[in-house]
Amino acid sequence: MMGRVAPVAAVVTAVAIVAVALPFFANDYYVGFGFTLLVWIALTESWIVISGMTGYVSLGHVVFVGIGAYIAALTWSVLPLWAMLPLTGVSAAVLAAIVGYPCLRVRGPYFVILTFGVSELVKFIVINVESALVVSGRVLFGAPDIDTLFLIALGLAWASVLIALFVRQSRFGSGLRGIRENEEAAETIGIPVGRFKVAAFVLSAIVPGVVGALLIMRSTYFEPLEIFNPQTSVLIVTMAVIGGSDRPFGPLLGVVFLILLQELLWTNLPQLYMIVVGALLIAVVVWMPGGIYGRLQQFIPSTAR
Amino acid sequence: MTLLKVEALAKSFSGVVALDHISFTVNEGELVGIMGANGAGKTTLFSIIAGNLRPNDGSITFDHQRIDGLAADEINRRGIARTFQIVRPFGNMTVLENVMLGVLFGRRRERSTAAAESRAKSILDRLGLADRAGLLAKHLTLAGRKRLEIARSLATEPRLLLLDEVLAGLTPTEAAAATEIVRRFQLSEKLTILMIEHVTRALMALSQRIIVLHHGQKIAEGTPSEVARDPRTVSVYLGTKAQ
Repeated sequence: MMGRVAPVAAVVTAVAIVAVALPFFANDYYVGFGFTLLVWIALTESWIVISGMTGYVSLGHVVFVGIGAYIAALTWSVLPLWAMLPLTGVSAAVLAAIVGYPCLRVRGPYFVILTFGVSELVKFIVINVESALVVSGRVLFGAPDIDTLFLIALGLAWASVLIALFVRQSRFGSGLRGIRENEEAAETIGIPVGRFKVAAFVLSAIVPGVVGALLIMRSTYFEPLEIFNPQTSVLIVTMAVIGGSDRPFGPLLGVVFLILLQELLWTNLPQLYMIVVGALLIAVVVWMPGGIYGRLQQFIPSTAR
Repeated sequence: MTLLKVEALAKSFSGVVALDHISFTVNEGELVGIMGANGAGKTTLFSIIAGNLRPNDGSITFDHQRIDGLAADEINRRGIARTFQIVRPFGNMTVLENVMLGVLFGRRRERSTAAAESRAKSILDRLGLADRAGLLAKHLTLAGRKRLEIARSLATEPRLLLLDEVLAGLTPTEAAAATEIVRRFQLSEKLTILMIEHVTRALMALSQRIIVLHHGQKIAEGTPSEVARDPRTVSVYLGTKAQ
């Protein structure tokens, strides 16, 4: 359970440092593509801290992206970037703590539906607040260029992978696995299940909050229906499950696979994309429960436990 | 010294009375057996003491502090561990990892993984599970899983251990081995044990005192020989004499 995580973290960091060079060489198309990839890595790696490790599947993670984006839109041109970005993460964490206490009392499908419901609820609250303020969509003037956004996204993706790695190897992560395996037994051997679940939920919300700010800086406008789109939550779950949500690097494979698929289908058959994604999700759950990563492990026995 | 004091404990499930104002005490270092037919309220009693269920009435005092109403994890950290009658291993974790979790949390709250691992190994050793340390818990035999259940609760370093039918479903040889393990731990760790058992012979041999429950009420209490002669126990277990 307690492998040595430091060398893996060093490799991840090295890869991230190399990737810093990309904006200086590649054209905007590739930098934009890299940005998309990094954003989804940041989202899925954050998601597995709650859902991969405790088994509480959140189908509402877009709510943290949305709240981060909203805070960013509200404080745009009021706060400097270095103050606004942490604030978006903190807001998402606060929302997770508020939502987490009641939601994490129920397990299984109830939790899934509840997180979905909460994200829709928050979406409509924001829509109503905006219409009460007589604002329909906020435009962000003077947003940073794609190269800057790429570097921030890289930092977030790096942080989310490291968080997932370190949590998994920590005492906290062991406790989360106990919760996933059998919550009542976990509680009975002294694991503070209530506190741990909320802590994992909060930890999984911070990076998505900052991602929300990045996304609206990229599109240069804030539109609640778009930024709170439940499809984002579904894609996070799909990427993690297809890649293999049980291992820190599983989601990476899922993200790369689905983003490449999206690039392929988007140009030719955009309507088909979500249908293909849905079919893939079913296929993986039925035939490949360990995801791509789990299947690869079968061929490389030394990595299997 | 009284370690556990249960007073007028009552619990009902939507009108069905499971425990009807039960009172008893357990002294430090004692091994007390609990007997009773199915549905007598034995497991409910354990679940309430361990904090998995909340009582409707009554109080529980452990080491001079009220613990009724506390969360199960808090009660465990104060020194009460239980096993489950229907075993609940962390199936996709190894036997060693299961026991390590008990050391990392529980009363000891070990922060160092290395220390937790060596402590867990020594517990597995004493329970005769050392050769299966690397096995996933779900791949153990029933006897193995029952031992793991004991090992994991011992790993939390309890002062009071609640054993819920750890011998049920085992062969006589396995049951004898498990009985021996329990006895050794009670002596060496100065552990206090409250034990539910259907295997009456083992209970009679191990217990210093026995409490008999019937339909949620305590109908007898005493040394094994006293309880065995008690007319109420005899009538519950063997029926009243036909006229």
